[in-house]
Amino acid sequence: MPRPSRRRFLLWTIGGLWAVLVAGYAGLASMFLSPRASAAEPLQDVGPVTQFTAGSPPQLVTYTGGGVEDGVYIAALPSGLVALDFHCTHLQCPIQWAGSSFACPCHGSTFSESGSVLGGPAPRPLHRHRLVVSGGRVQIGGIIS
Amino acid sequence: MSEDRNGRSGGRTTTAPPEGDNGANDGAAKATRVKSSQNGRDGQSRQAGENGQSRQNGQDSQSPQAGQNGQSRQNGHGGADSASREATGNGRHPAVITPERPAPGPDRDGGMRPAHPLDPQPQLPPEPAPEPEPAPAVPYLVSRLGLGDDVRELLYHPVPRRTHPLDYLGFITLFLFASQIITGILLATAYQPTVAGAYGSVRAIMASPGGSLVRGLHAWGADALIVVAAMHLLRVFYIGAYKPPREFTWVTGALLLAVTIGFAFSGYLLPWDQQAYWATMVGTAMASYAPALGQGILELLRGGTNITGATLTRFYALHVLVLPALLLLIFSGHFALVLTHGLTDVETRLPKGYRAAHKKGATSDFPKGDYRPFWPYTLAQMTVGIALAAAALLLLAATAHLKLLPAADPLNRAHYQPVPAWYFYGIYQLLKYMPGRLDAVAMIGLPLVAAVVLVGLPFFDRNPARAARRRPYAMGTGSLLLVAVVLLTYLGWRGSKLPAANAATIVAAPTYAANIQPIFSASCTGCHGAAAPSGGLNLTSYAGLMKGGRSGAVIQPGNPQSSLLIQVLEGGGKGIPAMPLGQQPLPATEIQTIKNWISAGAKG
Repeated sequence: MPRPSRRRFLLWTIGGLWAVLVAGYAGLASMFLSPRASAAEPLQDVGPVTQFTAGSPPQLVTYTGGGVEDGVYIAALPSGLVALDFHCTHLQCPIQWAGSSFACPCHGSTFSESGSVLGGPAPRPLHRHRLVVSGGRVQIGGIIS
Repeated sequence: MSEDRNGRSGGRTTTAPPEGDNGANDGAAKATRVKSSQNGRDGQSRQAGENGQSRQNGQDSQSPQAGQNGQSRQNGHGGADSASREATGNGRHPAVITPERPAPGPDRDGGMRPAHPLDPQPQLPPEPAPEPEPAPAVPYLVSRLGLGDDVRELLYHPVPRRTHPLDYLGFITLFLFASQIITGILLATAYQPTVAGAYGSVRAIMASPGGSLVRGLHAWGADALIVVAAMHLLRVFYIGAYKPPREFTWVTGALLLAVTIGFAFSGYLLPWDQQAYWATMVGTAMASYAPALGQGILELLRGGTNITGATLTRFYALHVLVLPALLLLIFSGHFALVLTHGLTDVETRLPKGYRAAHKKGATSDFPKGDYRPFWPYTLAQMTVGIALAAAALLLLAATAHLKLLPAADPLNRAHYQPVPAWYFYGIYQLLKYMPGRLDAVAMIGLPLVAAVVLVGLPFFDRNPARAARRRPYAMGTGSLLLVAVVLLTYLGWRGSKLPAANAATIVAAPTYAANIQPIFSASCTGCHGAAAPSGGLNLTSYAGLMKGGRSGAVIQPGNPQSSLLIQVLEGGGKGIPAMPLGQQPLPATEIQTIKNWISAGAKG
């Protein structure tokens, strides 16, 4: 292998140092700006488990997250409680419980009580939040699916 | 001597020759190179380029005006403002101003100035041209700051004589940016970029007349900026100004348009009202459709999965730090390129024979001499255009008061119906026509293709012609796209203005009179009125509704899904038309309200 000339060696060294510098700052920015994993969001107490009984319609419960008031629908399914995100999976307009299903006012997507898509352009079921029952209390976390 | 081939002679600093005595200066002009300072300021030396003539002695240049009228200016402060300008090789660039040493002879007061030891002797051969010196207006500062050439380049930049008012759209865009910077800085002194403070601080700003005006100028200025920048782009497209050698002027311009949209989008959230919050929710959600990267982009933009205080802070930083830096960077390139290549002359108006000359090696865009300096002619026109734009913006800001909806409610308890910012209306409308599985195409694919085509246009379009009539394909495609975008934006805007008395909420236990009839009155009775109802269905009364039309009953009490009314409202299919015919479908909330009413027995 031929020895690189001194000029070429300098070129590569200087170029390499600049690349490291730029990559370092890019990595720093990426690390700083990456949000915490959704599932790692702290749990929030939203009420006693007795509040959510099978057969009752899904209830919108609220809590404060990220400085704003946030909320989820808690549906008591035969398989247990599920916490459904209240944003449509199409363009994240706020859905509403409409008696027998969730409906989105923007493009008309509808979802079942368990969050599956019944109609409209929504590409996937409603997102589910982490739900933990502890000490008879229901706690809600970030989106897990 | 300073006589050119036209027999015109340059002015001198020594004496004021009699008017019309063109030859009177010849002898003394051999000893010194003299130039009217007036000439140095008004760029009249373009005639050198126009005439395409060289000076006989290779060093003297002159003011055409001085040459024409035989007059010269006396320099009371030595030779500092005596200068000559010479056109550069291609005749397009401003002349260079050269300094003069005071000539021996009578001074301003009529006395004789003693000969300077460095005064050139007449018998000596011509001395080499001295270094150019700055324009005489502020010689000290210009010289010390090293701005001479830049200022001259800017002021005497040649501009085609044949310009159209639309050619000044770039200047107006620049003015609007400047206005945004000024009003933006003012707003930043009072705005609080936090969830707790944002809405209140905007309300406080709007509470005073001055604050309301500043916010009005900033918000309307943002909209105006997008419109004017888009018009600037269309004008450049129409006259083919993106073609060589201006490919990168176009590319930087297209990038500036993207930055402008980024400014508008990031600024939209800052008032933190319902409109801002939900428009940003919808707008950022569109990014999540990007394959593989979508969710990452969404979370990077929002600082999480939802729009929170982190999103507000990020958008504020983007709006006041990142985008301005990007703008400055790209604009510097755009501006430098505009100066380098000049404004485009309109090909269709070129004189006969020019194209042939151009093929033979002419390097200029326009015939030699068919231009004039930026100062004062173009600057004057530009100022008029900017003044008109400023007046229009001020009028708009002062009269069209901005709305500030209730503070953002992430739970949307008031059932606000989200609408995107107006420049997303087109995509939002397009989504209504596309099947759900093609959403990614509408939200990511088409905008991405449009962006690539837009930025790369000068490289895709290899047709050298610039006249619109010789570019049928480019003009046809461009016109079609323009019509489509305008039409979709209009339809989206109209859709966002639909009466929403019932649209925002689903009524769980509706009654016919309070909840159902208003829906029909707003959306259906135009065709299904009492007189000659379409299909025989009269929707102006409960009786008419229950009677049905020529297709039979449209309501099956207790069974909404088998009711024909619901089937047509939900999009029809299988031989059933979608209603309202040719109009936007009813909001899902209204359909659900009607379903609830039918489920409960459809009572009158």
